Amino acid sequence: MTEPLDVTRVTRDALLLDALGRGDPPPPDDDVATILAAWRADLAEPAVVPAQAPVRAPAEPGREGSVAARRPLRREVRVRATRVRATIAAAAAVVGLAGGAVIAASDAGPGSPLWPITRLVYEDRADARIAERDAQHAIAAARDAIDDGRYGDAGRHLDEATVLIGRITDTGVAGRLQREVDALRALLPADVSGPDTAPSAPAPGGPAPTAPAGAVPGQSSGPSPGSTPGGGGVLPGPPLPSLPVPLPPLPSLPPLPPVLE
Amino acid sequence: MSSTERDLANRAAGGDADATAALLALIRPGVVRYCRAHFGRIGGAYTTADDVAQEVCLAVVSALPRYRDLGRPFSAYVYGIAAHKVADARRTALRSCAVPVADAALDRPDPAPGPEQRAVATDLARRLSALLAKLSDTHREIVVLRVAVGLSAEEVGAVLGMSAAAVRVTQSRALARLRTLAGSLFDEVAA
Repeated sequence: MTEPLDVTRVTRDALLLDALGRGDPPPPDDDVATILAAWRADLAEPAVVPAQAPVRAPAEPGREGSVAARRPLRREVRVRATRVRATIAAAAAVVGLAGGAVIAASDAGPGSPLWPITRLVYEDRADARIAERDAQHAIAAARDAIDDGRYGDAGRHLDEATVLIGRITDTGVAGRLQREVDALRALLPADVSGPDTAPSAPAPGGPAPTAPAGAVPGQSSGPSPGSTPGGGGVLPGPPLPSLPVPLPPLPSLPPLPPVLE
Repeated sequence: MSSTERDLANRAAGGDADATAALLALIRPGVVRYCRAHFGRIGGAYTTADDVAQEVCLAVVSALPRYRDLGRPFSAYVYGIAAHKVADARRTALRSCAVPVADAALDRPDPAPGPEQRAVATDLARRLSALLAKLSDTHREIVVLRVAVGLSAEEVGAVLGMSAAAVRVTQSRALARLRTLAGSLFDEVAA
């Protein structure tokens, strides 16, 4: 019942299957290899949603017919990254409806087992998640710095957090984090939270407010009215007593006696 | 390739998100082809197979924290999961009768219109699926893993619990059986 083992044939078949598995073209005189190669090329076709399937270009003249048609459709295997991503997203959405896993992935944050799926399928959302995480870290660092009295460091962490908050697409999260930043900034001494380190609160989800190099003093919405420009690098300390404004006019001295001239 | 996969898998199992993403990108094309080979086109498209492939990828990622490198190719781990997912999907499809399995769809014409090249190539692929359906489970799985996925004989052996030498002998017999079955197919195409 068992056929005798033909070592030569076994070796030849192994080499043939190795080549077909790599997607190599089949030997021209081997019909089964040709159909296996056509099958593999068909399997590697970029995924498309049926309703959106583009109509392919007609076959080139001279390539029609059964033999030419068996050639692997290698050109069509080359896919554009955006199309693949859209296809993954479409497939993922369907799977998500069934199992909820991809939906969970859409909300997964860094550290979650589904985070790679999020990064692959929801790239823009992943960027926002990273920004949210980094902003939270920056706020926590600022809080620690304030507790330690390192107000300069705290100001820099809050500046960093403000920029990151601008990249968060969830307006609710962005608004909450920005309120935390504002509350912490209010704890900074006046000479730390200068105009270039106390940006105005951005509209949630809006563009990132950058620290303006030429900000006009007095236009900041920071809580310290007496803040000084370029406050970064100023050592922390108690606010100086303010001078009376305007200063009283100095008494004029009488002219010197002529004998001293 | 295999050592790369195992290295990535070990890092991914340790919680390295970058390694997990890289590993997923590496295995996904093969998983897609594996599922398509088992389900074929349904309604002219691979949508159902691609959905199952996505489920396989999710299952692999979810199982990664429990992955332990025991010296076997990582593909054995992946396609062990994939085989279970495909079997589950087949059972579900059979129960609901809403999704025909590959061999049930083989006798139907492809409803999708298209150029002749695509039609014939797709038709050949479908006819090959018909031939594969006539092979034994082991023969069919070996052909799928070797040709559709592109695994080596050693990797296939790890997936199926066989030695590489046994895989080579069995795949040769599967190919011989396929050549016998294909005779009538080519007569039809030439006609």
